[in-house]
Amino acid sequence: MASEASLPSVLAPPGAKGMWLVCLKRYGWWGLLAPALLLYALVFFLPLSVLVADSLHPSGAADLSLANYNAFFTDGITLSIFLRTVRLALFVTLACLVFGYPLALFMRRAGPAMRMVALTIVVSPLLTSVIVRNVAWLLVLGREGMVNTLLRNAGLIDGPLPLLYNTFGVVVGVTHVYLAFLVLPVFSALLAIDPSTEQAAASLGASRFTVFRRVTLPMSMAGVIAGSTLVFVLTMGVYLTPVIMGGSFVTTLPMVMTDLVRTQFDFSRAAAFGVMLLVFITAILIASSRAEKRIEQMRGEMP
Amino acid sequence: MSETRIGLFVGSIASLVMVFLVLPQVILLVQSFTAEDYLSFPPRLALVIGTAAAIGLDRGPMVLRKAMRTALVSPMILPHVVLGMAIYRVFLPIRFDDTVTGFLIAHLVLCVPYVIVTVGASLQGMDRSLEQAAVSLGASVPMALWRVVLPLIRPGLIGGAVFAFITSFDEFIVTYFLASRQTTAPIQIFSSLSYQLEPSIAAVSGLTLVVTAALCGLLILRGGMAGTARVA
Amino acid sequence: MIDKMKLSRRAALKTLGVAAAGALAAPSVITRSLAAGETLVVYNFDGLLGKVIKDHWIDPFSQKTGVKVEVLTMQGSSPPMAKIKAQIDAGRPDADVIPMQMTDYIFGVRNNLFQPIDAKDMPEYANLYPDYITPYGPKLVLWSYGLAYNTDKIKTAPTAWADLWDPQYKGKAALNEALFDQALEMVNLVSKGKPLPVDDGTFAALTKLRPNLATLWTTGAQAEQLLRTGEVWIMPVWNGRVYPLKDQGVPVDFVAPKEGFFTRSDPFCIPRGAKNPDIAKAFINFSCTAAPQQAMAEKLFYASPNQKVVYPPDIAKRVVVATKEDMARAVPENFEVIVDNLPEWRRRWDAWKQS
Repeated sequence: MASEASLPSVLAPPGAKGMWLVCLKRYGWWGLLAPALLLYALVFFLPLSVLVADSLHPSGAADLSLANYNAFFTDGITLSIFLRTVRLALFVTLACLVFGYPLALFMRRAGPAMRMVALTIVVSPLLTSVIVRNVAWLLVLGREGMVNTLLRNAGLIDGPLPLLYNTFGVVVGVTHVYLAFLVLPVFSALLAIDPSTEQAAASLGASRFTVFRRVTLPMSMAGVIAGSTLVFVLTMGVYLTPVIMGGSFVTTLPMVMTDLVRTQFDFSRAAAFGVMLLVFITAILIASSRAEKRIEQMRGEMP
Repeated sequence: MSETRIGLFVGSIASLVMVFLVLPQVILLVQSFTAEDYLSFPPRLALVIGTAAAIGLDRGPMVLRKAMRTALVSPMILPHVVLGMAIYRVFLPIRFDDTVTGFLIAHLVLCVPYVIVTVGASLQGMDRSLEQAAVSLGASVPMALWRVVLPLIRPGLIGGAVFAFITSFDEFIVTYFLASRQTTAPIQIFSSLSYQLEPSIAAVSGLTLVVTAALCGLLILRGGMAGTARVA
Repeated sequence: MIDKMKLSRRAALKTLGVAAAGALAAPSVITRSLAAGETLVVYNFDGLLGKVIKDHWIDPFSQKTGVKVEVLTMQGSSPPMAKIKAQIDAGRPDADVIPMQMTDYIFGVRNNLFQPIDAKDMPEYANLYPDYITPYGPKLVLWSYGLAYNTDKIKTAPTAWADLWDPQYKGKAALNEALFDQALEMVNLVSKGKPLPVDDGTFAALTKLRPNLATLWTTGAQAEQLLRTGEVWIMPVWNGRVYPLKDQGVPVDFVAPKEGFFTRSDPFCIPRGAKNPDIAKAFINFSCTAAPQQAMAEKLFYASPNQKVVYPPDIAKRVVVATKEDMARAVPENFEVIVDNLPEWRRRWDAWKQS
């Protein structure tokens, strides 16, 4: 039997075991859930409820009002910024698909060592500080940056390309880190495909491309949907990368909300915008999980 | 002919994408670095709370399990800006905004979901016969949990610890709302050192890289060892 | 240290009798034994300005009085007003001393956020230009806003704000978004010859500038980065961010445009409910004195309201407003009007960015 000493030391701060055993003995399984539930109640559900309540009281007024939600659609700016945020999220998702899917395919075919290397590389942006990552991109994409210098030295361009402080720059910065969220689900979906299915299709005379289009792609669709949804939803909440790499001309909804809270003293309006963002994200997630379920069902019906 | 061309195509796209991913990190490693003070938050507590919750979810009541799981994991997908604002709104009037405790519990909510997910996955993949054997030999349920289950799901625990660490270490926006005198490395870079790729920036980034790489190495090693142990 | 203390006392005594009598009870005479061990919490700027204030205002004050000074760093050049207001409303502000932007100052006064500072408690006020004394604290750090340009890329120095619109700077200019009100005034100077009012004409002129704008920035550190990397060749920025770069060998220089330059200053205020108002007053008074002010002028080229500060010729040119006459030449700004209109301007500015 494994001894206690073999437990990871991170799990055994003084008192942890005591807390566990007391919780478990007194309150059963609910006891184990209690600390997390208490934490969430205080720092998650309570603040979010306050947020919703605030959003209904514009500028601290006592009366309930939908004025803040109204402003989202009618102030002439917020809706357009929201739509631009959606557009940015779509661009990022598309970029992740275009670059991430082939990478996942490659990782599936690669040997174990290469696979490990590729996996490490894919995850590595997640392990780098977000600001540091973005500042490094400034050096790569700037007017006098690496890309422009290389292209100019190669004689391919006359003037520097505008790679930074626009939507392109932000898409690059966000794609860089969120690519992992697409590659990993797609990769695991690809791994789950039985190679014999593809071999069977090939032996029946299908070209490699047809095999990919008719077998591999459909069978990895669940991973594609899960990954794209994750990337899309995460991008909707992105703040720092557009601030650093977008100049202020690329504005996202989270930037508007932060500005409202920090400099414009309008918490209730920011709260309303936050609730709108949450509703939108929830809708996307529900739609995505329905789509995944349908795909599972369709696969179940396949002979 | 065309098949090798497709293979070449996929391979070259893959290599390009990998260069794209690694380029900024390489540039930063080239910058020299010196040690710099920073404050980070121990994700240990997140691990204890998250693991307990994951086991509770796995073994506990069937009613509400799915709803509770969704609720417990939801901070992962919630935009941090929204959560940051909300926590700031609640903490500020009671002047809890700039305290270490306030930071700690705000970060906990961000970290715990990762632990629940990774540990939950390990629990599902675990062979329960060993645990049942321990109970049938007279061990109490809590004892079996502590002595048998936890060692078995060690890879999940370490994975959860790594994710919790990364999340807490690199968290920006929630801290940005709450902090005035308590700061974390990302806030420091953003405020005073920002944008001038000076040694201190490279130091913090190098530190992040080294620490996370070490943790990953640990994860892989421990995971591998746990695997062999189980086989043996 | 003690000599300086005596000097400031003597200077105060030389002035009106009222001020002299007050000086006896003034917090600036807090002795080492009285204040030692106390902690003062001060908001400070980021970047080089923050460092100069730390080295030449905060640390000497700390050494002299034994007061421990804790520094809170602002993100950019403005204090987080929403948070500060919430903290003051809750009765427990973090900081004892907060440097304000003029617009934040007006906002703070209207919302009753500050403690009045009686001139009796501030012996050093005797040496300040009276225009720079407010009921809630002295206006220190006189920064001037002009044009910075890259001397490598731009051979003939720009002379006017209007040069920003020059088609040869397509995609090579930038504006400060954090002080967008000042950017709007600047656009008005060019298109109307006067800073106000902000109207459709202002935004039309701004739209004409749009092709030249590579980006907008929000913190001085960002501005430095843009100039240092050659990303931006010409932009409005404050003098104290440009000359230190120039001294580091970055090919940049600063001009005060012929339509007029802006000079703003930052009132140092004490929030209501501050824990240590007396030590805060002592610190602000010390900051007004000649030595810290002289250091600010020499290190960062920000002028001082203290008449005792002398600028050597090379520094006088860089501080832009070295004399009372220079100060009078700065574009007059009506901050009450600006603060009244800020929300509306911001709405239009945000809409303009999206267009």
